[in-house]
Amino acid sequence: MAYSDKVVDHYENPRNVGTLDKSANDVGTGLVGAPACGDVMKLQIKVGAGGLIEDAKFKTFGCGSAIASSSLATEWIKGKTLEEAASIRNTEIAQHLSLPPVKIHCSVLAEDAIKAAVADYRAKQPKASEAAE
Amino acid sequence: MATPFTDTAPGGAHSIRPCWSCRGPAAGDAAFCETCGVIQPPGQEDHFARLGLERRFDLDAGTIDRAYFARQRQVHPDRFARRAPREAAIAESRSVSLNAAYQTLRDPLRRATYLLELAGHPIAGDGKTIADPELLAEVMERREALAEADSPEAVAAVAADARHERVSAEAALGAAFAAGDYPAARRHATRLRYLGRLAEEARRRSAMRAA
Amino acid sequence: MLLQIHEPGQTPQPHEEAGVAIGIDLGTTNSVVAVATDGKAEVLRDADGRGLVPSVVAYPDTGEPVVGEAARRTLLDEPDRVVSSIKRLMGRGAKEVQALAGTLPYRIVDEASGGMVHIEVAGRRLSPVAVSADILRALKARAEAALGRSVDRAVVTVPAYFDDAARTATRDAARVAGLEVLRLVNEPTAAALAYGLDREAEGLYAVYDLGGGTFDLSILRLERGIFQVLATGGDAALGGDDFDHAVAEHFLARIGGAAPTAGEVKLTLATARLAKECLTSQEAGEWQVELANRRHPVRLDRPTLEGLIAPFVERTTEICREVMAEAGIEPAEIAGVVLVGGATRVPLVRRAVASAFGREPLADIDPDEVVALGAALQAEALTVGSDTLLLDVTPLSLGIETMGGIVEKVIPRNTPIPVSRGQEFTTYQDGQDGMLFHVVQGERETVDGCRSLARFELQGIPPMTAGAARVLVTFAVDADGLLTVSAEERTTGARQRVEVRPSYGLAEEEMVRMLRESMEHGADDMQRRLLIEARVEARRVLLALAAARSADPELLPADEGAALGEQAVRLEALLSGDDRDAIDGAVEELERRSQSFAQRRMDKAIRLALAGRSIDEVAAETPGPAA
Repeated sequence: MAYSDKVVDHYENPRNVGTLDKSANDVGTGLVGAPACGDVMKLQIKVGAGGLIEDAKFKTFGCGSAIASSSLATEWIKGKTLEEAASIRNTEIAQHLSLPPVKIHCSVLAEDAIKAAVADYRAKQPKASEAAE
Repeated sequence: MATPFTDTAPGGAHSIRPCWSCRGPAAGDAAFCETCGVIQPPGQEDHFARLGLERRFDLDAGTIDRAYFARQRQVHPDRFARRAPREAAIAESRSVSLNAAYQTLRDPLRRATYLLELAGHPIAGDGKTIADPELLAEVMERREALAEADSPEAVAAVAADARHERVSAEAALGAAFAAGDYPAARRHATRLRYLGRLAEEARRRSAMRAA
Repeated sequence: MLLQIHEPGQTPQPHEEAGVAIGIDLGTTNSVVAVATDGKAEVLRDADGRGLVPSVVAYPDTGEPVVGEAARRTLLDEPDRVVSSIKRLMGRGAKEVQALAGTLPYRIVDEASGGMVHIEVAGRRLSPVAVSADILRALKARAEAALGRSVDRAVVTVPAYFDDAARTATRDAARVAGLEVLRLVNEPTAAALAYGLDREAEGLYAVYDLGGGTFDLSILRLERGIFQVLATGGDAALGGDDFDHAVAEHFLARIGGAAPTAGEVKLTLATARLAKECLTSQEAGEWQVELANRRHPVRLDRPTLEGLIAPFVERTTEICREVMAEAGIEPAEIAGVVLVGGATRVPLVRRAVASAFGREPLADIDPDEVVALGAALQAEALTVGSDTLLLDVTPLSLGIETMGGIVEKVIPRNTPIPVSRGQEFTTYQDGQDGMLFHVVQGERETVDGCRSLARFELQGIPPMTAGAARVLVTFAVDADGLLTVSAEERTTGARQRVEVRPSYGLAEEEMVRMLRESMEHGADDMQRRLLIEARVEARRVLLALAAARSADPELLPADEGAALGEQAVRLEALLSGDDRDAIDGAVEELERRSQSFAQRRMDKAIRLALAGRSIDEVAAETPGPAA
């Protein structure tokens, strides 16, 4: 037995690797870390006019499971509303990737990164409306 | 720096347990029974007490080594190869607990992690995430620099920088412990862990290049 | 914490009736036996002054196997009867030796059980343990001839990078040869011991050990009699043999023609080895290789040789760099580099080591003998006593397979031994009543990349929801570097426990048979050992009682004291006899009779402690023997 094919696929061909403009008002950035294993994950969302996530990018330094979890997370949240994205649970990610129990924490990292990105985007919004006035 | 070096653990002098051999009283965590001189099983003392060291972060490597060597000389199973099997087995368990103490305290980061645990301010463990933006941005930046390093020299430069940072982070950690500022100590220890991980990654990169 | 408690009769023989113990370097190419007296070690030589015993065994049709120089000579006439380099197969399964197949000059037989491979030689089917035992028997005989008395205990060295299977196989081979292993010592550590004591060295030392079939690099700190291994690394399948094979292949390629027979390969290898050895001092030479009854002249010069072996040498210096980097040590911090193993005579190796460490290596102790000398010193330390102490580490990480084939490391490599470490695991299904454990050794993250040591099952876990059970798995590695694993369910009062010693796949019956064949008086030996243990235990009890009586004489009324004294005298008298049951009985009786005295001593100490006085003060008042 080894890692599931899905993990290997996301690890070898990670989707949506990259960076969005952190200072842009329509971009939310989530930066989280897991000190126990020394992983760090950055996940960014770009929210369109309709309130839907139109783009998502990530950059993760960590093990294969962490990279696969964040890659899958960016795939899933595209086209979703902020509420839908923030409701994604780590268990869904872990289940989809068939993560072994010792790697479950990698999916926790991805869940927390999505939440942090959504929170960051929301925190920017009042400022955006002020600027528009 | 002088560190008190005592043969009985702090507090151990007042606890009494029966010696397994002469069945008379033996002082708490003493390695040997005062009456019959036979080796005693390890007690429940913490890693600092096992090595007869004061519970503090600021310990130099030489002090820890000397305390460890002096105790291993007394209790290592090789010293009991000629003794009764039960004594040899007890010696082995004492040697095991000394090794555990030494491993935990010899490395500054592990020592800090252990102290933070004892103080009730443990570093985020398995499955726990942190969102310290300043620290994580720094980690991201260093990991990116390493990922983009495209020559052995560039990798070495990132590694050297990480080493340098570790030295100053250790100093900051020591200062935080000295001031009794556990939240700050925890933050510095977390940073040290990330820097250690970076150094590990740099080593892996240069090994890959060599292969 | 569960520690491996020795089985009765399985412990190192207590010091009573202790004879001499020897040090053995059981090498891939050559073996050496040495003995130490008063901290001076000496290699035991044959009548011609040769210290090296070639690790070669010849199996004639009838009679005993022939070992050493004589066997090597047989190689020329009857190559099919001769076994060499058996150490490369110790503890190895078929999968691992696939790469070696063809390079080893004998037929390897796969074991259906998936265990350690066997070999077929001269119509016999032999395990590597049996062949190694034949070599060890010859070394024991040499020692007995040199010392003029029987020898039954030894310190045997193993490559630092040997895994648990290979270590266990080595210890078992010694048992089959009639030698009790006092300690398995890592070869580089033994070399450092011999070297450090000889030179009174202090500081950080690197030991570069390139043997016939294994490479080890260890970094040690030497400080006032302490030999502390900081890090070790290596390759259990890389050695001087590889040089020989490269040269032999070069010769055969030059000659061309039909595929050589196994016998021809052996002869070509012998020629290759000779050529390699000649080229350590001369620049070029010519030899002859016999193929299909024709002699072919072959030439080799040093640059060509160096080109052939360079990849292997580079691999060793790469390992040197990795080990230093992992230990966080710069080459400049190393005070000296000690060379071990015959292959370090090759000039290219010396140059490579000098450049990797930035200094000329030290080789003033014969690199072929230094390991055996260190083993002899440690044998003396364990039997007679010594001020030196070896503190070694685990060479390879030990772990458990978890779901998904991922290895959870329980004891990482370079952890000081002895060590015992526990980790909790839980169930993944509701009502799961058993758990399978797979113990592995190695550095890879997935099970496929590691060596499998053992599989076992913990049964009888009370039904609970998934994740509720708490199973503590404890790994204990003793000072020999040997592993014991135990598992225990801790949630409920019912403690279910199993304990395993990894085996290397040699069937139990085969081991038992070999032991029976080798030990005519196996049962007697066991009885004798149990008797000695009983005596040692009795002496401990007598000493403990005497110490207690002199510590608290006032707590022992005259009549009770007299009765105790009587029983002690009775026990003393039994010690000169050999009735183990009587000794055990008398010990029990003595302990029973002294029970109330012991109770009074505890009561007094507790009373004093409650009165606010420390036991130290009490001890200071009562004269007693110091610890």
